[in-house]
Amino acid sequence: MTGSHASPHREAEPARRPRLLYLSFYFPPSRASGVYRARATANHLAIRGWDVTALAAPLDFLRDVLGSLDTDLAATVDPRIRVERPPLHRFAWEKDLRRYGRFRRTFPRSAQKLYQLSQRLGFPEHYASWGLAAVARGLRLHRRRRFDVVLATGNPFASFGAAWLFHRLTGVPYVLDYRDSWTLDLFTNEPAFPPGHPAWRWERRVLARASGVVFVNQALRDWHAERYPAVADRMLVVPNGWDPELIAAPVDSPQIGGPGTAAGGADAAPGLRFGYLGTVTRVQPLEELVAAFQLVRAHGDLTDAELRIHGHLGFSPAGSAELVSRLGLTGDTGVRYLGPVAKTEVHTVYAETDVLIFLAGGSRYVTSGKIFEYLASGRPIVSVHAPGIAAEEVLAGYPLWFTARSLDPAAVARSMVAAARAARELEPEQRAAARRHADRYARELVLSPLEARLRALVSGDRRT
Amino acid sequence: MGGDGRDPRSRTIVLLALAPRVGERVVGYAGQLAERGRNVVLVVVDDQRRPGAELDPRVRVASLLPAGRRSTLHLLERTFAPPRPAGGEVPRRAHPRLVAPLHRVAAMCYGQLRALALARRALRTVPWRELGVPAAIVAADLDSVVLGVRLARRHPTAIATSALDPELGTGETRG
Repeated sequence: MTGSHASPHREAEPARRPRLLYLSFYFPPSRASGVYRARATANHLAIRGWDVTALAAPLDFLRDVLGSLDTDLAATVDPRIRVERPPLHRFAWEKDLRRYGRFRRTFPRSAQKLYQLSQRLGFPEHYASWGLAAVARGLRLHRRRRFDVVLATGNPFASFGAAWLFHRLTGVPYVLDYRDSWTLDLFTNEPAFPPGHPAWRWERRVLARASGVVFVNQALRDWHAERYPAVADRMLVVPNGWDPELIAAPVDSPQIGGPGTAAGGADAAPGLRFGYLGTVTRVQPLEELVAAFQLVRAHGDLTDAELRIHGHLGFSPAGSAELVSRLGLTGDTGVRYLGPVAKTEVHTVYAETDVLIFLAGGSRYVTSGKIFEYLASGRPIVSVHAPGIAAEEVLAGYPLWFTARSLDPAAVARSMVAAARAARELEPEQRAAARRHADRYARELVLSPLEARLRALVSGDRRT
Repeated sequence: MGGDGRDPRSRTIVLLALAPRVGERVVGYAGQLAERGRNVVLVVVDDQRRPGAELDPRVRVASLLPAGRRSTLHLLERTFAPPRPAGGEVPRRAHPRLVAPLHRVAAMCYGQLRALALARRALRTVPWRELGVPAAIVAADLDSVVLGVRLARRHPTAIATSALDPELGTGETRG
């Protein structure tokens, strides 16, 4: 839009909502851990007057391959958001031999080689085909009605490649949201790829032309700013947050050890209820938690305490047996597994938990989206993770945070006992102070700078 | 041999492992299935690749190139896909200078066609009827895919998968 062509368009512009193409593979009804940020971002922008089109994963992939659908969560997506689902080639995930194509089932090695070659020469990710399909779909929609800006969230990072390609073809500016890290291994703090891997080339390429780059914490921003200093001035931190519409206000007086559980009802144990809510993964310090909890149960007034685990065991059914064993679910440990909870029901779990366990794997770059919900619950929180992770930035100042700054079971147990005592003696003022701390991370508040950045891009774009 | 088709647990799981070396992962998986009471038949290329004591004794092993016979496929296997020691590299043969590149090209070509050649031979030589009606066919590596697909055609009700799923055949999973 330049020169003499600008005037007639300007007259029509006030009525036109800014139009955003949101490249978010994981979008409701997916239950992937990153989906809540995507849902909240799209909803927030729709509420702020944006015309949002989200390009997301095909439903059959979520259902058949990941086996993870949360239909209740899908119902919380703003109806003004248009959701399109470009296809994904399932070469890397297809296990059913009958579904292999003719070439693959006749020359499996050649098919594999060709696939690997396409990864090396094209985009180095199994989701690359989705990225290309997203660009094709985006172009079709763009031809009908122009997009003003593209927002891409990763992982998968094919969405970043798609945003870059869409920009190259149309000139529409794009912002990248690093919901997760691409080239940094969050669990080892080491680069995730060897030198010379195509991922490095692609990251450099997509960052160079990005109009904004968003990270979930300062540590991640700093790591990237150090490697890509030319882009540092376009980087900002937008932490995760909690969603008021999903997390009800904290219940003021939890009935310590009272009846009612997500699964148990009136037969629940009368003891104090420690709880973890979230996906249990292999990288979490499960043994340390279970060992600490056994020490807690040896404590005089906590012999009947329970540790309730809510959520999925692993990201796929294959690894759940190992986790069952590591959690001590097969013995008399006081640990109970109560299964997954729909996002729309998590407030019930928080209401029926006395002390929350913040169990996290990983390193100083890990925040975990779950911690924001924990804050909003107003419950005592016990840290069970390596000291120094990024989540501590969020927890610092929370008046009901108990941390051993160590994974030594005895130290963790002492934190748990102290938190149990706090839960029993909780005063309304403490709860109010906790809530004030949590309010800083209400989703609409944390997303405002991102919305402002996108809006500035749109106005800037229109001025040119 | 439990091939009555009524109880899936009693039926055979055919585990195809036709790679030059049967890996620990495959041997461990066969053991897991046997531990769960499955009737497992592990199909390997020849007796030299038959896993040793590390294999669960309840797992039966079938070779598609019987020992003591000679064929072109025996020769191709010995030349281009010799058995590999566990955790070791393929023993390198000293080739004359001009032969080495030709050997590499031929090995590459055979590598691409190997799965096809082994599948054709396996369908003729392995006594499939004696092994029972498979409840599941598992291709543990790329070289087993062609045979897996062809067996799947013979047994349309069997699960045919490349996933090493320990719950296979319990009715809890499919493909």
